[in-house]
Parts: sequence; structure tokens; C-alpha cells
Amino acid sequence: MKILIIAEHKNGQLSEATQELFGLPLGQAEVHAVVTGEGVEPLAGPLGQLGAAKVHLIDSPTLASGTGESLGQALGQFIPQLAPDVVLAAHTPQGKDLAPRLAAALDAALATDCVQVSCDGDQVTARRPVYAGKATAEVEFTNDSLKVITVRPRTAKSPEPDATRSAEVAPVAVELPEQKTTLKELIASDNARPDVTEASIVVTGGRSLGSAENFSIIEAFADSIGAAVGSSRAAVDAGYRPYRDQVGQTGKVVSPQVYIACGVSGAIQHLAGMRTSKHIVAINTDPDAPIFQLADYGIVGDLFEVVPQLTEAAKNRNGS
Amino acid sequence: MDTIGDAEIVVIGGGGIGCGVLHSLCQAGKTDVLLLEKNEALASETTSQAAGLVGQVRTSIERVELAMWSVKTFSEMEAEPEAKPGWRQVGSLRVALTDERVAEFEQMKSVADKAGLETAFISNDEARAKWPMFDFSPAKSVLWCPSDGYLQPNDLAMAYAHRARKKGARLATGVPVEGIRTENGRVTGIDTSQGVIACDTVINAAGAHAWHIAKMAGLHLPIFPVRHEYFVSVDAYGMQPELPVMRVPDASLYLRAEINGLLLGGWEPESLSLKPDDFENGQTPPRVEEDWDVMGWFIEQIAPLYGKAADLGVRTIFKGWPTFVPDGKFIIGESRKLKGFVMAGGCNAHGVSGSAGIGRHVVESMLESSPSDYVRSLSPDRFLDSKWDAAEAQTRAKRIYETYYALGH
Repeated sequence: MKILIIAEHKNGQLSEATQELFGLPLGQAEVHAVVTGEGVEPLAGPLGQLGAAKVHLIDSPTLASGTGESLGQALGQFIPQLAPDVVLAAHTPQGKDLAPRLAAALDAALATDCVQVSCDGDQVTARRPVYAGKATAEVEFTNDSLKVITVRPRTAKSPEPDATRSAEVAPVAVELPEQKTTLKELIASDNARPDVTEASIVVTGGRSLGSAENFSIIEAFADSIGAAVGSSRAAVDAGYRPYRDQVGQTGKVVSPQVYIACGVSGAIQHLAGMRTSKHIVAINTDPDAPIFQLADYGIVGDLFEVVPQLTEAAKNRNGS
Repeated sequence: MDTIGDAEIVVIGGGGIGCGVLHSLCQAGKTDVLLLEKNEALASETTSQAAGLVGQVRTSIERVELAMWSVKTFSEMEAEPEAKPGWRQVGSLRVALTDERVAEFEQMKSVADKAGLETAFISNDEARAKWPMFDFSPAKSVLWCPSDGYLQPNDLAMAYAHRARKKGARLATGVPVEGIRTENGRVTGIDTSQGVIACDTVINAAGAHAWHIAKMAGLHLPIFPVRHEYFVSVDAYGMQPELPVMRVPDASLYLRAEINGLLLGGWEPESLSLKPDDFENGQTPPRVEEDWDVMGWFIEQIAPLYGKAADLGVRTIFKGWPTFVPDGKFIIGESRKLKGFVMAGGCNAHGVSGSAGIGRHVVESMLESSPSDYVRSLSPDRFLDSKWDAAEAQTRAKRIYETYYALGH
């Protein structure tokens, strides 16, 4: 069996997700890697140390920006020449874009976002989550046509590089037609706040904020302590915050070190999304709000008065 | 430690019904009232798992009027700034797929007309304008009710509690009821984990525990928890909170938008029920395990109208134990067997939407010198005057669930 791994890289380094692909249980397969871009030869060494028997380099200035169109054309020409049984890519923005293009162009079988891939002799099996991870589908490939598989990052552990190993290196020439799309500029997101699921402190606002504009006091507080901004279902429903900020049974489940609920009554659906937080602080005008049952620290008061004071205190402490 | 103190009326149960009854009592001028909830928070069992659909189109005029009262109450509550039930008056569509259902809709429309509830038959094209992602070509008729909608059941319970508290009602959570005290055929008080509370009237709004509370008072009522589930999908194209609620009774389904996802639930043909003594009074009912066969069945049922449902990721499954009774009617009012013991239960999964209307009927049964024939027909005595067989009653209660949208129901 011949397997081709599509290597992703940035700033001259292989991506972690690419390295992990070499940690999959690939059996006795012959593992090839392909690298696209401009000046990519230095990556052949590390790929060899990870276990690639042969590294194919497709070097072209057109490929430097890595648009899906250009990569699809280059790999679409190269893959039939190599004729692998399986093409593996990481399920990253690049892999997600590329895999369906290749599968369509090469009339291949496609399995995306797999969380388990194994090769045993001629047999390849994959598992992929369905229904947002509530169930798992086992994918079996029913004939010997080419298989294109993307693998979810952190599915396998990257192997330790073996300095004694090296790969055969082969440059590949491809013909790239005039491009319909080009990458003009990469603009970093101006959202410096951490994501609610990753932050160690989350400050959440509820419907009692009354408007999207009033969330600025929650944002100011969050920024003063390096926290993410969360939202109750009701505040999302009212259109004050985007869905990605929603904490609760139908939103994100978070488990930060500190969770600060401002004007959130504590409906069961909300508690389901944050009850495993290490320390819970609640600010609410209603002393009977259920959030206080769960809170380690509670302030009965108007968030419009309390939160700005907390922001001020945090700023003073930061300043001192 | 503070003592809870006595009260003229004690409501047992802090879910949608208990809070709704408390609110109705306060509206009627009864403010020496106390609500007891055994959990640490209100609305923490069945209410918090409810889908919050509020539909007024029914087959009997009494039920239409009850639901209209609820809608009127929800609209008033939503207009108040302090505690809102999250009521969205988005309207509702009922979709008929068979000729028999068309005939039922026509009958329901004439009931609605009599009750003064605005409804209209709309064309499939008009329906598509309201739910653009759906294929209405299998529809034989679509009945539109502009004043229907949905709300957030937890917020509703909190809003009832807030309004009742402002009028002087007291609420105590984390207080399980351990016994009912009676003397000479009437209620005199209750035993709780925090001592005895003297009262003239006890209202049993304990949901899945209503059977246990009634049993403490020596009354044996056929109240059976039946499992109900629905799911909320990940964000789906075209879903937005303003979409009307939809019911497809021939497919045994209801659906609405939950923010930008699809909420889809229904009444599966082989239901799962409990005997009320399968769990103790102090316990919560057994945890409901997610039943993927049922979710799959919902998706198959909706496929002719919305094949895309099969591709939607499931974000979460809501599940709980609403209670059902053998004749599918509420159990409301005082029993002749025990003065001062009033029922507010057996909601057959109409608890949240019916709560304001049910509260009003409970008050009517207690305070009016001559309650209506309808309210009297809901008396618990219909099950206490004759013996009933437990297994048969459970089968009939399950049947009410399974045929929730069946014709002639």
C-alpha cells in the first residue's frame, strides 16, 4: 500500500497537524509526502525523520500563497503520476478546502474529518463523527479506487523525529494555468479576546444588559482581566451577541478557572454549560436568582453599578 | 435559622404549573401564599426541558379559551421590563398531509372562529414564504394562527415567581414536603424538612411527583410520567428566531427555530413510561438516556418536507418526564374526599403553554361559587369515585402520548 501525506507548513515549519499524520497506525505502508510552495526543500529533512520514505517537492511561486485553486491543480497533476492508494491531509482550513477538490478531480473516495484511520494490509478503515459528535460513523472503502482522507487535528500523537532517517527527495514539475483567484493580503483578526472555550476567565452577560451596546461594560471588564466574553442564551436570542459566545446546553460548554456571571439568572440550560467552572462569581439584582445557588461568590446588586467598579479596580491593580 | 412560617395556601412544586398557579392566586387577590420546591432552584425538572410551544388551535372551545388566556397573560408579562418569559409571538403553521386531517383542520377552524381566535387557511406558496427551506408540495392544507408562538419555559417560571413575589407571595426552595396533615376530613398543614407549616389549602402542582403528594393525602390518582424528547440542531441555513412554530400532525411532529438551529420533536409510536412508584418522593425521576432511534424517527418523519434534516448535526437533546393521565385531561380542583386539597396537574405535556390558563382554572375551582362545567369535569374525583386498574390506566396514559396528534384526539 502506498500512502501520500500532504504536508502543510508555515514560516518554514511543518504544521503540528501534519506531523501528527505520521503517528497514525499505517502498518507496513510505503509513506510518501508532498510539499508545495516556494523554496520548500528544507522541509524534506524533517519529513524524512518523521517517517516519509520519499518526499516530493512541488516548488513554484504560484503555490506560495497556498490558494485552494493552485494546490488543487498542482496535486491533481502530481497524484496520478505517483498513483498512491491513499491521500492523507489534516482536517485544517487548507485540508478541508483541498480534499473535496482532489476527490472530485480524481474520481476518488472521500472521508473527511476522521478521528481514527488505520491501515491493515490492503484494508483502510476510518471513523468520523456525525451529528456533532453524538455518534460515530465507521467508513469502509468498497473498491480499490483512490481514497482521500482528512484527519482531525490531535487524532494521533506526532512521532519523535528519528535523526538517523532520511527520505529520498524528488522534485516534481507541474504546469499551472493562469489563476482565477489570488491571495492579496492576510489580515489578522482584531479580536484580541480569547475564545470562551479556551479562556481561563470568562465574563458572561445576560439579557438584563438590555442592548448590544451595553455589552461594552462587560467587554471593558473582560479586557481588564484578560477574560473572554460569554453570553446567555437569552442575550443571544435578543440579538445582543453572536451565537459563538453563547454558553449553555445549546451553546458552548466551558470550564474556566473563574466564571463571572453578570445579570444571568442561571437557567438550568445555562448552568449545564458552566457548572464545572472552578470558581463561580455571580452578580445579580435578584437575591433569589438560581445562579447564586451555584456561585462561590455572589454580589446582589445592579451590574451597571458593580461591573464598572470591578473594571476600575482591575485597572488600578494592573497599573500598580 | 429563619422559619418558613404558615400560610393560607401552600403550593407544592416550583415548575411552570406551580409558579403559574401562584401567580394566578396573587392576581385573584390571594397573597398569603407560599410555594415550596424540593430542588435548590425553581423549574429544574420537567419545565426546564420543555420546548415552550404555545398553540391555541384546539378541537374544543374550552381548550382554545384556556390557551388564549395563557397567550394574553404571556403578552402582558413580556411587556414588563423586569422579568420576561421570552415570549415570541411568531405565529404558527399547521400542515395537513391527508384529507382526513384537512377535515379536522376545518373543524378546528370553526372552533377557533367561535372562540374569537384569528386563524386562516393559507396557500402552499404563502407557507413557503414563511418557511422558505421547506417543501410544502405534499401539504393538502395549511392553517395559520398569527397569535401563536413560543417562549422560554424557565424564564416563564421565573417571571411568574417574580410577579407573585412582588405581590407578597413567598417562595422557598430546597424544601421537600414529607407529609400532609389532616383533621376531620380537611387539610390543616404539611410536614416539611424544615418543620410543620399550618395552612388551610394545599395545591398539588408537583408534576412527576404529584402522585406521591396525592398519596400522602390518601388519594390515589393515575398520573404517569411518559418520556418526551426533542433535539436542537447546529446552525442551519435559513433558521432564525422569527420563524413561525410548525406542527405536522400527520407526521406526529412539531418544530421551530431555536436561535439559528432547528428544534424538532414529536410523539413516537412506542413510548416509554414509568409507574409513579418507580421512584421515591424525594428523588428526581430516573435520568432519561438519549434515544437515537427516536431522533432518527423524527428525521424520517420530516424528510418529505425537509430532507436536509438528515444532514444536520445535533447540538443537544432535551428530555424529561411530563405526566399523562388515562383520559388525557388535566386534573384540576379540590377533591370532595379531602377539603383543602387541590390538584393542579396531569398536564399531558401542555403544562408550560397551559400554565396561565390552568392557574386561572385552579383559582376558579377554589374561589368561584359555581365553576364552569368544564372546570368541574377536570376534578380529581373522576378517578377517586371508582376503582381503576393500574396497568390499564398506564396503557391508556401512554396511548394519550402516542396519539398526541391523532385524529379525533
